[in-house]
Amino acid sequence: MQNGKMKPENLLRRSTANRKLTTGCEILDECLRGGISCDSVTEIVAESGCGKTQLCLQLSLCAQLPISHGGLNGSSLYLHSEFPFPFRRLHQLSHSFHQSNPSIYANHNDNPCDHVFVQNVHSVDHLFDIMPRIDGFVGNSKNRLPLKLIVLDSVAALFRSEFDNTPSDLKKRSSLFFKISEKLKQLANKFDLAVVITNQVTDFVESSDGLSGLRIGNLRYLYSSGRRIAPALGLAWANCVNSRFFISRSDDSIGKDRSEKDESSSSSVSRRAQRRLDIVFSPYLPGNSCEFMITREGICAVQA
Amino acid sequence: MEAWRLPLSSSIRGKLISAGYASLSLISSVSSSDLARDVNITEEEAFEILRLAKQSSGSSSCNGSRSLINGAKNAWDMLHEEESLPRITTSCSDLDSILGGGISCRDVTEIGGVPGIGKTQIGIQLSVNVQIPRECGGLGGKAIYIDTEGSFMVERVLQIAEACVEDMEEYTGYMHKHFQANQVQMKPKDILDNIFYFRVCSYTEQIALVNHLDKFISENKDVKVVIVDSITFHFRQDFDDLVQRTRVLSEMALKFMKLAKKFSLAVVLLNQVTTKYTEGSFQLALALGDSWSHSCTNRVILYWNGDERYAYIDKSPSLPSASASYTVTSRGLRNSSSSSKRCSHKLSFTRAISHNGSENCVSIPAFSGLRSTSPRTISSRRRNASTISRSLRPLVRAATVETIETSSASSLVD
Amino acid sequence: MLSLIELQCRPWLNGLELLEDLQRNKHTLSTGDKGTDSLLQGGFREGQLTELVGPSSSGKTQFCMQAAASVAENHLGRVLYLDTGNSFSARRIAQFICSSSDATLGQKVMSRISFHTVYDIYTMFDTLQGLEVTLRSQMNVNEYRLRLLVVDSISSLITPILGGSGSQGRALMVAIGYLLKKLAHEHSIAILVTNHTVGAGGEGGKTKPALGETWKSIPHVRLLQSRDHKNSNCTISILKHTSMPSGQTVKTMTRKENQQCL
Repeated sequence: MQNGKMKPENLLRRSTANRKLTTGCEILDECLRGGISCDSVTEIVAESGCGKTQLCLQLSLCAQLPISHGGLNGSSLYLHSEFPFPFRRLHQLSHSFHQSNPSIYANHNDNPCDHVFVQNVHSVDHLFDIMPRIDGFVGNSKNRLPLKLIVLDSVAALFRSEFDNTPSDLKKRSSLFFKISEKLKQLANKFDLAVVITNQVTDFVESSDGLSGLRIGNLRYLYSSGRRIAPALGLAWANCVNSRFFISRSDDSIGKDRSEKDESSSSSVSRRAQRRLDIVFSPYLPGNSCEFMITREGICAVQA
Repeated sequence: MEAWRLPLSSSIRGKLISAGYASLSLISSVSSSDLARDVNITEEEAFEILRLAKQSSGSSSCNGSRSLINGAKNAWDMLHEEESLPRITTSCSDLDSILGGGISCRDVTEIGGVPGIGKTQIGIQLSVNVQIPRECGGLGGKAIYIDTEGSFMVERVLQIAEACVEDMEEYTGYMHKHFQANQVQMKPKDILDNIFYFRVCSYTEQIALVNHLDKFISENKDVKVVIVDSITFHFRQDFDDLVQRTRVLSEMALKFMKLAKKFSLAVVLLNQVTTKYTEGSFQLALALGDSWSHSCTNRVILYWNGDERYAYIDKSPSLPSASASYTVTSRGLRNSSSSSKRCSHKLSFTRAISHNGSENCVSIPAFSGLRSTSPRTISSRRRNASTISRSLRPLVRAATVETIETSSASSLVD
Repeated sequence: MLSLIELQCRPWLNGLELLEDLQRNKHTLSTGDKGTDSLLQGGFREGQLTELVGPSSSGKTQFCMQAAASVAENHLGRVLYLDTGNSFSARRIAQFICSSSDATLGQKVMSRISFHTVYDIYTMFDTLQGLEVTLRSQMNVNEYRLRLLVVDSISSLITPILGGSGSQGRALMVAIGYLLKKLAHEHSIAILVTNHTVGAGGEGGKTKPALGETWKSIPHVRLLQSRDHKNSNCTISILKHTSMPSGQTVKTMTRKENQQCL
């Protein structure tokens, strides 16, 4: 036990707010009062195809921005548990990122992708094996930007197959949630990182004990693509994260062709790409929501 | 101790020792009649011997009929003590009412609820409200905030502190005719300064910190509230030895109880909610299990009822079970808007909540969200908590179980 | 030397003396609630150790406080309330006392209730031994003698020492049980202790009283209290009694003033 821990932190010496990482989209930033907070675990819940991976990729790139631009001046670690990792999309985004930030990437050979480290995680045990290596990784940052963002995409995929539905297995699973969360929070606190975890959704099924309808957070019901859903991993996991954001898309965007050459139906294109972010719970944000779009360049504000 | 040291006449002393009563412990272990019979002395003399023996062995008062054991207090004295105990307001007058005026000092209060219901907000509000100076009806103390989850955001505390300072200025502005010289000079930064913030990242750190708290509080005597957010987080992992976990938890609970009693401060433990498998189905319960449930004096459960947040007193030695609603605003915890409708005596409710009485406008403490004009008396307040509606029942119970039916109206009137 | 041993050991009693002692010294104390009194055929018996088991917030502390108030008021006896969990509330006791409207009488009643906090089992041993000394040295003609001793809750003292490697915990538990029973019998005190419940293990999810099998045989009377949260009714049932069959129950309702039977 270090003696230093016994002294309370001087709250005034901390900056008046935790550092925030911009999302790259000013509408989102405004809704989140600056962006994703450091020293905190943020969860993004969305059904597949809603854009959580897009947002994570964009965050990984934004982390490299200097602090004056809302970034963290650091590199990011992307832990992915779903296959395959979208390398092409990352390159695409990085290219437009490079172009839109000429002042930072003066050297043409600078590739923003150099500061995004990708690691595949295929099981919970594997994740625990990686954790101590992350510790060392952050410590030895000689030639590169220090690690400032960890993304875990997605946590639900790690738990998909190994556990049955019996009470003892579920209990075991829950205790693993807390272990993961504790380790990530330790890292976040020690190195002042931002941690972003994505989670999937499951269809909402009314169960006999009524527990599936348990309300967590500001929204009574979570709807996406016209049907009611619930975040995966249940109540136990909800206790493990500091903030939860929910990305959803509306009804009209399913079942349409994704032909980008079709300029005439621009309104339907924009509806297709339109997403909504809701703040489900957060220790410092009021319940709020905003709408944004996903385009080739990344995530940006809804065009008026 | 030896019997010959007693200040008795030598003849009696001699009789004692020849009868075999050489040490005080032997003397103390018999009754006076037996002693008299044995040593061949009168009962009064025997009683006198016993009295002296007790006196010199330093045990309880010689009178015998005053206190049965060392250190016992009687209930009448305790009643006066209890009534003069200060309480920390939650800034929400409905919540204060069901709590009997606020969170009581010298008690361990556990507050539990689902994520997002406002536990951290209550913790921050209390750590700000404890600093309200005595002239404004507060405790003028400092706070210790132990953060195990990382939910404590300085910008949020600053927001709440600024709102509190504004409320205080308005209050002293109103009371200006009463307080001539005293001017509240608190600034939000001062409020931040008076919160001792500890971040713990593992259960060993948590235990070490709790052990250290006694020393810390002895050095900082004006700490009046200790908030732990949340007490459960580090203990919900898999422990190799469950017995050890239970033992560690009960020791921690004991330490908090002793701290609360010794320094007369309030301990607020925030807890999470979990699903428990009992009697064939899953039901909600506070985390950490049955053995933890008696470690707190009071328990408050936070839950959702429709679109409103409610608090329910689940366990209290002196308060009846009651519910009250509250909201979380940018200024902190406040009364919910539907309650302000009740207070203005409107009889048309948007949701049919039945009340047993409409005396909900109890005297409101100075810093509730309703800009009340009645100043709060600084002496103790005995709230009539039974007027708060009893028909609302929470959907989460402490160690026992209760199913949630969001749509049915079993005991909820919606 | 022999005289000392003789003094320490209780003299032999024959059955007639026991019956006389029972009739003369060991009265029944009302619990404060008529229903429970009728369930227990009068109430608590002096000289017996009564245990109240129940899950958390089922009303055990309320029951204890009501009993304390009733004994102090109706039987003019002194009560010693040992609290292990900061759950004693003088205010609540005042509510239970019916004559609290008359201030001086109320004060007298309340001053007969002594209260002490005990946090661990070793302090409890010291306290009980100190109590024993005090009781022995008091002349029996004291106007208010100790009639009821309440320990709320004994399980929170014992649970921390149970388990682990040695069997020390269980030995201490048995020792304290016997010390309580001895106190009860020698000084004609009724002792009321509370116990909580734990999960019975396995997938069943049933609950059973804490402290295990060894403790089961120690109290004379065991009562189980459960609360129906929907309407705050409590049910008290007999698990074990020296002179009554187990299984009988009574329902009570917790009101602001006191528990009353339905």
